[in-house]
Amino acid sequence: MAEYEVTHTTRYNYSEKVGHCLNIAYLTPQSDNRQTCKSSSVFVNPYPTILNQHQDYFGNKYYYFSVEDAHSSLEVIGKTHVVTVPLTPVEDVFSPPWENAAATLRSPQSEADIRAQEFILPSPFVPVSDLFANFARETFTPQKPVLAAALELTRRIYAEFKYQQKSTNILTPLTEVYQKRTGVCQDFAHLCIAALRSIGLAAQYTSGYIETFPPKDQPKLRGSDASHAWFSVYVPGQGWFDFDPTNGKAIGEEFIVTARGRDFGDVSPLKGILFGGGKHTLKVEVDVHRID
Amino acid sequence: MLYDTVMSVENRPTSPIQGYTPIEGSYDELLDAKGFPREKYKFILNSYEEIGETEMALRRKELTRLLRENGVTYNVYGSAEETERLWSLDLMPFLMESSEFSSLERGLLQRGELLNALFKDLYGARRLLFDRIVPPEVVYAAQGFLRQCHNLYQTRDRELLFFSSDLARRADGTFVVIGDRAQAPSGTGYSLENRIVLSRVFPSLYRDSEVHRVAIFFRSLRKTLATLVRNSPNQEPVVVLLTPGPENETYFEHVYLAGYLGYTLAQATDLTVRNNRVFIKTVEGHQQVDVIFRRTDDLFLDPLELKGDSLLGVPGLIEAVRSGNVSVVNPLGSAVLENRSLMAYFPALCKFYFGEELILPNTETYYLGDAQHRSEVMQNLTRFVVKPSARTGNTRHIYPAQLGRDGLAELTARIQAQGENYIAQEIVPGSSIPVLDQNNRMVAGKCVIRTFQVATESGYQVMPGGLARVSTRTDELIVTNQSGAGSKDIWILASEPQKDVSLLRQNAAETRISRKSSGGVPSRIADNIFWMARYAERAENLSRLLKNVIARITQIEDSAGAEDIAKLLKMVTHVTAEYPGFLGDDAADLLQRPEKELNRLIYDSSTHGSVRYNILALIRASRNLRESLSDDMRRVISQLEAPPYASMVLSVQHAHLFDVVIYLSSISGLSQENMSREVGWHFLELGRRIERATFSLRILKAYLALGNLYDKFMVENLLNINDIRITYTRRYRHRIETDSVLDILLYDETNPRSLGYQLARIRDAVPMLPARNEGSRPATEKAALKLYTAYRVTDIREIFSTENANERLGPWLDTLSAGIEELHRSITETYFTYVEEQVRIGEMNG
Repeated sequence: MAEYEVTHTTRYNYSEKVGHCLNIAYLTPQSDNRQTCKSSSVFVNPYPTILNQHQDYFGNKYYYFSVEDAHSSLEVIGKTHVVTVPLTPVEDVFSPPWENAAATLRSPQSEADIRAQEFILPSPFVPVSDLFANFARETFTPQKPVLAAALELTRRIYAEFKYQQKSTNILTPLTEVYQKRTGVCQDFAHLCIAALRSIGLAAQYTSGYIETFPPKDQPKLRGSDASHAWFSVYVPGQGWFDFDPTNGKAIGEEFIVTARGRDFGDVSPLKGILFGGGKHTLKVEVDVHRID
Repeated sequence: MLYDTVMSVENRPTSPIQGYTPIEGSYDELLDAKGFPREKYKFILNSYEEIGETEMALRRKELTRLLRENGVTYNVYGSAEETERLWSLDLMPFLMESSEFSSLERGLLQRGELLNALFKDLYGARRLLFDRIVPPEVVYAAQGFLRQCHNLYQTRDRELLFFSSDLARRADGTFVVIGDRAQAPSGTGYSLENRIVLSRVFPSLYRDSEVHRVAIFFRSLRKTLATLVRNSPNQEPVVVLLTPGPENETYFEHVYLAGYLGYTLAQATDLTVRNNRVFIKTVEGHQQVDVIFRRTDDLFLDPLELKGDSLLGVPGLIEAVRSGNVSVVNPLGSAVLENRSLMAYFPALCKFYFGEELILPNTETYYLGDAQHRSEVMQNLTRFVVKPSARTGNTRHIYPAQLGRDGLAELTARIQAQGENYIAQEIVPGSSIPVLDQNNRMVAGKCVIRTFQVATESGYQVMPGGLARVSTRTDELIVTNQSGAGSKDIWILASEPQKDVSLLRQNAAETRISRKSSGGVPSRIADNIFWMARYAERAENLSRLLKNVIARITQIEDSAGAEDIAKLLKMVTHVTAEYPGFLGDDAADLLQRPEKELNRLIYDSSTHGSVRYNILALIRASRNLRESLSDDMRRVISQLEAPPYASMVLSVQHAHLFDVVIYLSSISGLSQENMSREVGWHFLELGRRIERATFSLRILKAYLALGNLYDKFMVENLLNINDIRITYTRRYRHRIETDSVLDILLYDETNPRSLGYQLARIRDAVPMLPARNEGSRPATEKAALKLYTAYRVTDIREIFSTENANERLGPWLDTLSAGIEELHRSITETYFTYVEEQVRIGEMNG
C-alpha cells in the first residue's frame, strides 16, 4: 500500500491582459479497486467566477472554471490525497490468446464488452491503419496471450523509442512519432493504442501521475515530477489492464490514475479558451509526495 | 371540365400541358397512369388557361421581380463568379389533397417521436446498444455523437424541437423518407417566402384553392421557443437567431426568419458567456439571451469543448446549457440523428421504443457492417446505391448497376472487407412533376419534398406545406439546392375555407404597440452601420472632388491654365493620401497626362484612397446589415456592386463619377427620409457627419500645404467641390473672397456641407446614443462637446485679422482633427464590439 499527496500546479503568464478565460481541468483521481481518493481539491488564482465539478461521459470527474476579471497570469493547483494498493503482477494473470479477445469483441457478450467496443474504433488523436497493425503483429504473434503480448509491446516501445521532452506537441501526427521513434509519454501511449486497435483490440488512454525516484544519495526535488499517461487494454471477462510504455512495465502502486478516455483529447489535464493575452508562457510542476 | 379527356388537352394549342412527357419509370404528380390530369390539378390547369399565355408571361416577370426585390438568394459554394444565386421558384405549386396529407402526417408525427426517443436514448441510457438493437460501432462512430452532451437531455418529453424530413415517391407513388435534417434544418424561410411570392402572383387562384396556411406553424415554433426560457431576468424572452454569417449558403433565410419571427440576428462574435450565462453585446450593454435558435452546425458551436479552432461558436456555451441558463434549438448533439447508418435501424428502433411498425417507411437502408444487412444487400447489389456510412461534405455515391463486371467485383470485395464504411439504400426515383419553362411549356423534373415539424406541448406539429425541390437535369439522381435545382411551393388543399393567419396580425390580446425594436441593437450592427455611412460619405466626397477636378481639366466649365490644374491635382494627392502621386519628383509627366493616376484613384480596388476601394468597403459593411436595410437601400447598393469599366478617357471617367455621386446621394437620401430615428440611425448619422467633417478638414489642410489660401482659382474650386457655388453666388454675387468662402464653408451652420453644420449635428446626435453608465456624463458626450466648443470659440474674423492667417488656421484645423479622432475613438470603445483574439491553451501529458 502506498499513500500519496499529489500537487499539480499549472501557471500561465501572459504578455498582455486576458479579459476572461474558460477552462476544463482533469485533475481529480477516481476511486476504484486499486486506488482510493481520500480527498481532492482545486485552487484557481485569480479567484474564479465559476467553478463547477462534473462527471463526464466516460465517468471521469472534471472541473469547469472561468476567470472573468482581467488578469495577466493564471494559476491552477490540484491537490490530491490518494492511497493505492499493489496489483497482482500481470505476468501472473492468465489471459486468452489475443485473437480470441478480438473475436469476442466482434460479437460482444456482456455490457462491458459493448462498452469496450468504443475503444476499438479510431479516435481524433489515434488513427487505425495497416501501418500500426503490422507494427503490432511483430509482437502479437499467433496465439500469444493478450496480456503477455501487451507487456511485450510496452517493453518494445521502451527499448526502441527515445523519450525526449518537448520533442513533440499536441499536433504532431502519430505516424511522425512512429517514424522518428521519439516522443513523450502521451505519444507512446497513443502509439500502443493505435497498434492494439489496428488489430481489433480495445485500448484506452489513461492519464495520471507516477512517483519518481531521485538518483541515489540525492534528495527528491519538489515539483520535479510530471503528469503522466499510459494505456490500458481490455480483456473480455477480465477487464482493463494498464501498461506504461514510457517506463516499459505494467503499472504498480506508484501509479495514480486521474482519467480514462479514447485518447488525450478526452482527458487533457487542462485546456482553455482565453481572450487577449498576447504571448503566453506555461509552467507545470507536479509533486508526487509519498507519505510514510 | 376542360381537362376531362386526353383529346381536349391535345386539341388546345395554348394548353400548357400540351407536349408534356413525364419522366419514365417515375410516378407523375400531374398525370395519372392513363395520361389524364389528376383531379387535384384540374382547377389550377383551368386557371392557367383562363389567365392566358401573355398574362402568364407577365406573372412570371412579376415573380422574378418579387424574388429579386426581396433579395431571395442562395449562396453557392465553390463557384467563383456567381456565389449568390437568385432563388428559383416555379410558377406551378406542388399540390396535395388534405386526405393524402393527413395520412402522410400520421407517419411524419410517428417519425418525430422516434427521432426524439432515439435522441434521448443516445444521450442517456443508450438502451439501443445494451439491448443490442444497433451495433455498438454505429453509435460510437456516428458523426455528430457528442459525448459532451451525455445526460443533458432527460428532462423534457420532447428534447428534439424542430426538424425536417425529406420525402420522395417510389415508382408506385408511395412516399418514403430519404433523410432527416436535425441540427439546423434549412428551408422554412424559403418556403414562407415561396408562399408569400406565389400568393401575390396568383392572388385569386391562391384564394380559391383553399390552401392550408403555413403561418400557423411559425406561431407554434415561436410559442415553443418561448417555453424554453429558464433562469431568466428578462421580462420578455430574448431569443436570438444565430447565423454563421453572410458567407453561409442560406444566409438569406437566416435574415428573413429572424425578421419574420421577431428575433435578433446574431453572429458568434455578438455573443459572450459570462457567469455561465449567454449575453448579446448590444449598444445598450450586455443583454442576457434565453434561447438560441441556431443555424450553425453542432461542431462549431463551442470551441472550448468541440472544434477548438471554430470562430463561429461561443466558448462556454455547452456549460451554460448544462447550467440551465440558456436553451439551444435544436439542442447540441442533434446532428447524430442525420447518420445514414443509424437510419438503417429505424424500423427496428420503432419496434423497440414503441412496439410499432414505421407508418411512413424509410427508404430501405442497410448498414453493411452488419452481417445480416450485408447478406440481404449482396443478394441483389445492383438494386441499390452504395454510400459512405459517415455523412461528410463530399460523399461519392456508387451505383453498382452502372459498374462493369470488374468494378462490381472490386466493390463486392471492398464491402466484404470493410462493410462498416458503407451503407446501401434502395434507389428511389422521386416523382416526376412539370416545371413551367420560360415559354410556359411544361418540362418534366424530378421532385423531392422537404417537410418540417416542431414540438409543441401536445406533440409534434407538421407544417401544412413545405418545400418541393425539382431538378430538370433528369440525369442527376439526387436533387439538391447546391446543384442548382429549383423550388416549388407545396399547397395542401383544404376541404374547408382557410382563415388568414400571420405573425403580423394576431389576435388583439397578443398585439403590443412598441416604439422600440425588441432587444438592443447588436454592437456589430451599429459598428457596420457607422462604417457603412463613413465609407459611403468618403466615396461620395472623393467622387465629387475627382469629378470637379476632371471637369476643370477637360474645361467642361471655365478654362484653366496648366499651373492651376497642377495645383488641383496636387491637392488630390494630399486629400487621398496616395503619395507620391502628383507630388512625386518626376510628376511632371503625370501632371501633363493625369488620366492614368486618375484612373487608379477612381477604379483601383486595392488603392485605399480610391473611390472603388471605398465603395467596396461600403458594400462589405452593408452585407452584415442585410436585416437592417430597406429593400430600396439594398437595390441602390447592388447597383454600385457591378465592376465599372476602368476607362483611361477623362470624359468617361467624369461620366462614371457622375453616376456614382447620384447612387451615393440616393443612399444618403434614403437614410434621411426612410429610416426611423432609432438607435441605428444615430450611428449612421454620426458616421456620415464625422466623415464629412474629416474630409472638409483634409481639403483645407491640403490647401494650406500647397500654400495658396488666397489663390482665387483654388478658392473657387473649394466652392465647386463642396457643391455650394450656387449658394455662394446668391449671397456674394461673383466676388470670390477667401474669407467669405471660408466663412460659408466653416461657419455657416445652415449649409449642410459646412464644417459647422457637421459639428452641430454631431453635438446633437451624440446625446441620442444609449446611455451606458448612468449618473455620469458619457465620455462620448464629453468628446462631442469639447469638439464643438473648440470650433465655436474661434472666430473666423479673428483669424483673418492677423498678419498671417495661414499660421493661425493650421493649428486650429489640427485641434479639430484631433477632437474628431477622440470622439471616434470614444464611440468605438463605448459601443462597438472589440473582438479580442480567441486563443486556445492546453497542457500536454509528460
